[in-house]
Amino acid sequence: MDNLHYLFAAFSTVWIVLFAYLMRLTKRTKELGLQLEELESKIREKKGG
Amino acid sequence: MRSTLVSYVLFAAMLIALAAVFLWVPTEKEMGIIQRIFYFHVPSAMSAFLAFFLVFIGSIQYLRTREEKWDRLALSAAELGVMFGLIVLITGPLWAKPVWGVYWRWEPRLTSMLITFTIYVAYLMVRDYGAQASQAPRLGAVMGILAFANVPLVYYAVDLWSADQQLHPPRNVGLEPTMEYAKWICYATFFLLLFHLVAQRMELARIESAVVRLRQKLDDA
Repeated sequence: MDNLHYLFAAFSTVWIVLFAYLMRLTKRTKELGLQLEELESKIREKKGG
Repeated sequence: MRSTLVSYVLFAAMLIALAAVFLWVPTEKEMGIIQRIFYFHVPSAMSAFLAFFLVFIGSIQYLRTREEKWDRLALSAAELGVMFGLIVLITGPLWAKPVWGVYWRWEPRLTSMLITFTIYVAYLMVRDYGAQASQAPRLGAVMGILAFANVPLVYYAVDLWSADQQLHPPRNVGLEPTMEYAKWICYATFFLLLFHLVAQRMELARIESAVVRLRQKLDDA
């Protein structure tokens, strides 16, 4: 059981890297949502005026 | 709907893989508990190779057809390949230290994997810095094709260089049946994860392109 901390570290790495990637995707999705809102308001402005 | 179903299947597969690795397989006699790193180190490596193969296919198809979907496939798969490659390069040394006594040695497979990983990071940097340039997909496609030449080198590194330079064991080391089944369960789970994430990333890339096009249209109007 001496090497349990290596196993723990390796196993944690898989989850941390995966989680970081998913966080990155989520952040990009949010940014796109904001860009879409901005574009929608621009379209409304153009239609209105 | 299909994506949600895949997510549930993936979740179940992950639970089965975890149970197989930590509850089902016996502890290996020589290496002990640390050998269990094998069940996510090797599938991560194979997933990275598969992702790099998708970059290769996407790049060829993009140069042939100039259809954006192939470029999106190449770019998305490259990101996932780098992600799985990073897992390989971190879990490998964590396995090596208790077994080989060192975290790292410049032996053929470790070195070739690090070079391959660096090349695909460079690919992503080229794509990122040239995101607005019209030539970026074409340049990326050429890079995506050339970069793939490294993948067989990594896979066959244990055969291509002499045995005295190797720390990795030969390919196709025999495993006892339980370990073999667990290995294939982990392969299936990691491949499913790869395909699911590539599909999600491709969809995000499609929306990004649509937003850029819409913005250009609005600016031009």
